[in-house]
Amino acid sequence: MAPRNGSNDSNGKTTRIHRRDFVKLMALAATPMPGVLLDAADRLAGAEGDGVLVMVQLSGGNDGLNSVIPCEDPRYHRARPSLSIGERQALRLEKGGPLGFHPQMTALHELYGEGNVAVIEGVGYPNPNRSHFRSMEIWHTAAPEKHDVPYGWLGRTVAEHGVEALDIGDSTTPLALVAPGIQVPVLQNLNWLDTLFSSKGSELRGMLRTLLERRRDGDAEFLRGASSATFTQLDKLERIRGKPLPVEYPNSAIAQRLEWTGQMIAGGVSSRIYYVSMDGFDTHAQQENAHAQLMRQFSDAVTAFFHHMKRIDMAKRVVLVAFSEFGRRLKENGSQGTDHGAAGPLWVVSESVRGGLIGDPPDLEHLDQGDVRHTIDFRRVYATILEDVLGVDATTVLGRPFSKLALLEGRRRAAF
Amino acid sequence: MSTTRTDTRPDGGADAGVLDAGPEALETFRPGVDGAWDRGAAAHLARRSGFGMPPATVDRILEQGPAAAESLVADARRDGGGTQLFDTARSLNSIDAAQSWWLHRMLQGASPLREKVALFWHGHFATSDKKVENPRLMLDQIMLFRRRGLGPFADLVQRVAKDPAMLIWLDGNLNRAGKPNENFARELMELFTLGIGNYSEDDIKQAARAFTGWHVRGISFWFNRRAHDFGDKSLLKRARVKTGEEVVDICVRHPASSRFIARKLFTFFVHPQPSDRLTDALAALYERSDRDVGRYLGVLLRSRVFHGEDARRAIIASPVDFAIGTLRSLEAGAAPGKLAERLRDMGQELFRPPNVKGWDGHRAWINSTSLIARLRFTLDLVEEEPIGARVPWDRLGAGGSALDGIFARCFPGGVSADLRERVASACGTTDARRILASVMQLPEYQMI
Amino acid sequence: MHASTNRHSGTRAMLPGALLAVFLVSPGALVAEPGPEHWLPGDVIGFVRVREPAKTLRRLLESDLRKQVEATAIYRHLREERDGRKLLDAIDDIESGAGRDAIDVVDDVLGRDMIVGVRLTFPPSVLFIGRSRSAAALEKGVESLKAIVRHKNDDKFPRTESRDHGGVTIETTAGGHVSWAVKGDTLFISNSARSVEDMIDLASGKGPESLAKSEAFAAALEGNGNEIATAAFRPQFVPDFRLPEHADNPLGSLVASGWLEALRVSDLVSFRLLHDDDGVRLRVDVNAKKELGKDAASIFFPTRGAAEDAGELAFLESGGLVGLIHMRRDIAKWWHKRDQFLDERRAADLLNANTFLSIFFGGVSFQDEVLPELEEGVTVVSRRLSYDGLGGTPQPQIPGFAVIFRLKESATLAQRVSSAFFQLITVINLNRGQNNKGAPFVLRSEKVGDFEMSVADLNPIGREGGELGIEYNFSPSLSVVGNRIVFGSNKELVRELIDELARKRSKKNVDRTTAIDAIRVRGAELRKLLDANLEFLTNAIVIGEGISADEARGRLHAIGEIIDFFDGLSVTTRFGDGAASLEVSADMAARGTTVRTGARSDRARF
Repeated sequence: MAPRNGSNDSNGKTTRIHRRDFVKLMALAATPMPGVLLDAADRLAGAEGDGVLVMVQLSGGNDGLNSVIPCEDPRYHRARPSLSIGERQALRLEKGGPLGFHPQMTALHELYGEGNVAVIEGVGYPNPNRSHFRSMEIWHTAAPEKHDVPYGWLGRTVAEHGVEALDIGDSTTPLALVAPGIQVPVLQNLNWLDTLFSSKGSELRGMLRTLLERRRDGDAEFLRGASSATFTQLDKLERIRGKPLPVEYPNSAIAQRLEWTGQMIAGGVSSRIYYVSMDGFDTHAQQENAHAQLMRQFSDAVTAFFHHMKRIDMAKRVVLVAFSEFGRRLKENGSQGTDHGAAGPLWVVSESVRGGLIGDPPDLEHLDQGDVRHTIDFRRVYATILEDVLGVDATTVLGRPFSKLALLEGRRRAAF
Repeated sequence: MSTTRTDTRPDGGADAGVLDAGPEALETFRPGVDGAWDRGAAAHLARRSGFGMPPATVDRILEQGPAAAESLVADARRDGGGTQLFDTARSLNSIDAAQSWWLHRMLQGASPLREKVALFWHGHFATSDKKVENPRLMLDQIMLFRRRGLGPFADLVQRVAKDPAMLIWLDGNLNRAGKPNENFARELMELFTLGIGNYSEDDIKQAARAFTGWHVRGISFWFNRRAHDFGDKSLLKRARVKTGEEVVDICVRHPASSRFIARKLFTFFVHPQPSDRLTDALAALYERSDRDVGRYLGVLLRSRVFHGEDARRAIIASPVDFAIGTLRSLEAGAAPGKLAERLRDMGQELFRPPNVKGWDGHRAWINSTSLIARLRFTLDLVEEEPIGARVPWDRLGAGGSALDGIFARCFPGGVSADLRERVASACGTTDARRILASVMQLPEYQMI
Repeated sequence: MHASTNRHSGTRAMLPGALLAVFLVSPGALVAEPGPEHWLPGDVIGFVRVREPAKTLRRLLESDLRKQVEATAIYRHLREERDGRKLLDAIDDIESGAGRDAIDVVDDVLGRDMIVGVRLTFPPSVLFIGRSRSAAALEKGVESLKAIVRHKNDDKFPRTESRDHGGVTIETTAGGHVSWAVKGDTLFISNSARSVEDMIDLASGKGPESLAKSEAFAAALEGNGNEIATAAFRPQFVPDFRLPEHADNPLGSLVASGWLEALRVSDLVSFRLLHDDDGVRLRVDVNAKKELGKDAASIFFPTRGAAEDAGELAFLESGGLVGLIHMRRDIAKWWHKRDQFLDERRAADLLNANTFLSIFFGGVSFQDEVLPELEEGVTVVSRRLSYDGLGGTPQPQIPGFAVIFRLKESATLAQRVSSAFFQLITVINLNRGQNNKGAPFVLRSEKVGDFEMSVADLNPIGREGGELGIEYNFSPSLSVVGNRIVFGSNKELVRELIDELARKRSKKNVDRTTAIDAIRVRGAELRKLLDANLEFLTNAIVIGEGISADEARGRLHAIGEIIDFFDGLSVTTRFGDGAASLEVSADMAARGTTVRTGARSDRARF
């Protein structure tokens, strides 16, 4: 096994190592000893103890400046005569501080107050590209300097490190999840699972349990092991699907997707990367109401998801990260909207996050062609997530080392 | 989490046992000497040369003997005739129609081998409609695989290099003299002909120059003279190379290509892990066959190694094998329009391979989500309506118990008494739906 | 085809055909007389009354239409299918039990009329009254019914208790679950003995208030001599009668939310199957005591400018019309009040759409500055295309679609709509061009009469010799004709419409109706479309469903048969004097015979 990051502390850790060793020993005792069994057992053990990443993509370029608002800055108000949000409406990150959430984000603001939200300001990459396609491609591949990179950063994680991933709600796999040779599954919706939970489905699984007998040979045994593990997951998922949710999710597309994600996690599905998208952020015209609505939907959905995770005791292990391909220009356009910009804020929501602001408030004095300059390379966020949430060596995914952010330290250790 | 693998093979799976043999293993299988020629052997050839084991096909192969392999290849090489359905799909120009058409061919076409070979090349020259966004061009590419997939490999690659879908897929139009785009040149060497490690970065650069100006205009190949670099190129130890055609020719005749292609075909049709020694023998056979895919495959499919114990049920069924194979074995109809989505859920969406590497296949087919999707497909099949299936349940139960009927279809070569016993005690012997649903989940069944 | 010499099986053979034909013929005139509603208690929550059911059935069975229905493949399929067989078996059972033709039994028992009502007791009671032509006929009929029961019950009749109620014998059987009584020519049946008593009391001039005297049902019982059947119910008393609070589909809301709102405030819904010289028609009355909300009235039943856009229907119906929908709605106001009619998520979608559409409209707010500029009439028209000048016909052939808006003030918005059109085409081209496939549409403009038409034509580069794909049905075109905007999927259709609009305006031939909604569907044109695409559709079905070409052709043939029955279908909504009405009528054209039927739902008062 490759050494894991931060693998030498706390009590929780010790029990995990114990369990893992135990499973290994069991595997060694089995005759004959297929390597794959070791592998599968290892995966199962890992799935029980490691962090879970929920990546929320805000597609279209979220207006960061109207999401985490520099409401004290006169340059902000001057540049946005019809769209700026006043210092009294913005929900301050801290009393008298320079930044405030959009007024519709009351729920997330409350979570922030409880220390469960980190805002990372000024995230971006050098030489910002203002095309949706290209900028999203950069975020997905984590390779700003290269073109035509066929695989995504999470896809590489899947392929290199055997972490399972799942996209929920999209129609096709986003580039971020494209992996060499493996099709990361996309579940457009979860309702069809109910077929499997019909009496017929349950009966079938019952019968199969008695049929799946351990085989000698490699691939058939691999199939059997995977099937058994899947049935166990399905059993858990069935119990969860049958029960009413412990929290009520609001009625929006993003809430629906996060609800499904929550159900998968609660059901013990072995995926540790979930990918969900939210559309509508390309607000070139008549932005005010539409953006307010997006902010409310986002805030309410993410908050509901957090409470869900808390109720099932997963709020420490699950880390939700919300990003957008770029922010928007400081200056509003002539259509009461905003055009494509550069750096923007990221939200990280988890009980194990170090709540508060990471990075500096946007510097509206020194702009890059009218846009907020990036102060934190997005790959530093990725590196942090890869190592501290997913527990994989970030360099193997990102190609070179990036210094991590103090995003999950301290509290995360206690969590595991 | 980093996982340790005792032995990693190129497709990403862990070692399931290398198949070692020498050149003699490629000699013609002699019934009675090298093994029995029985229903099990005929079903094995049916599974590998097509999808599933329709009783009539197994009967015919059984009667013809091991030489059936050659007639299967000959049938697949013949032009399929009527293109009316193809024209309809093409006219509709939707990916749904394209997927449905091909699935319809797989389900009902006269030569399953033709479709299987096309599927192999679809995974090899993996082009995705996600980027091409032109279902007609995608259909044309599949038609190319169907028509030329069993001919000389050189001819196939020459045509693929000028295929409009491929040109769009690998940015042909961006490849201009003075500003070469290496996308196609790189994949040509790495994925299409030579395999990684058999060329240098400079070879790619030189090859890219030769393909400059290979553009697509409208929906056709167009040699854009103004964008072509007419200068001399030197690559793979050859000097004064001029055209893209020459580059393709050099690549397909390169010794590394023989090993690469011969081995890849073997892993798809015979066994996932040939040893190096066996690969040498395969490459030699491939070259002896004049790099003609059909001739090579014809020999392979009646060889001793193909009919050997180790090759039997040695490949994990792909979603297409699983779905189409089951339907064909049962002689059941289904609505192709509803199958494409199920295949996507199982991890093999036709016309949309995950990336330029194609599907890794083998163990990469299997994960919890894809298994859930296989389970769901099973339930949909016995329920019939969700996938518009028409299963001849009466026929399955005829002449004895449903258990016998289904085992005859799913394991024509017989199966251990123990397994039969266990299925009988779990599902009884009369309820065909229950029995079929269970059998389909057995690892023994999901290995083809 | 399956005529039988066996008298008993006559009905068996004929009934299914009759059921299919039930809406297709009209019976003879009926004589109005005091109805059975006088004997049904007034506290029912709904009722169904049928006049001379046996006679109507006979007429249907004897009609020409029956033969036509029976000749269809669908009918043959229904006969073979499980439910069809069940029905035939049930009729067989009845006939062998009674020893005579089922219709004769019906005629004996229900020679005059019948009424069924439901009382909301616990459990609910069903009340039935059948009136025969004479006491003697009824007696004979009841004997047959008893014979049927005995036949179904191993030749035994279940134990029955009798008692007297005001000189009439009430018989109760099946453990008290069925009670009946005969009084002269009238048969009473109910699952509640109490209800049988009430009906006998009413028939004797005593007892509770009758349905006939009930004020709540008065509107449904207004005398009408040419009625075949009447049904009515009081929605607020029907358990689980719930209307959806919000629509989850914006288009659906725009079309139907008005009627939902009307139903919400209604206290009586009634249906009447009538016949007159035109044929059979169904009237649906939605009566309301409460007022329809102001928003709903002004959004879904606007009255302004009604005369003009209604008049346009006349010429829009010309040519190869396949279908047409004309709606008058205050779309801007509906958009504004979307939370009232749409569920949360769909309402939110509209807000997002506003942002998106505002980009196309050069940055002005779509909801606040574009929509309010539209008059309330919107027409969507679909016609077959001739493909003149295309050098072939595309496969498949898709009819052209066009939408016509009317502007309050043409100048400013017309400009914006044109630029939005150009932007749309440009975006499509950019999008397609990203993969070096060349821009598929070439923008150009042409003159049609005095008007300019912008056309996006397919780039000929992509075209191969002879083969015309589905995309050759499309050449998006836009024109501003006076204060109208015409936007269509094909230049050919838009050209026609411009021409017609221009001529129309000069003639000023306006039909002064006050239609709110008008829908027309032309069966003959639909059929031509089907025929033109027959081979193509057959192939498409084969590919999609995996069935044989013959089977696919059979399905298309069945669809063609259905289309053949409908020469035209039209729906018209009117509004005036605070009352809205909906009229649905279908012209039937069955193999040369034209039988006109109308279904009409009328007058919802608010």
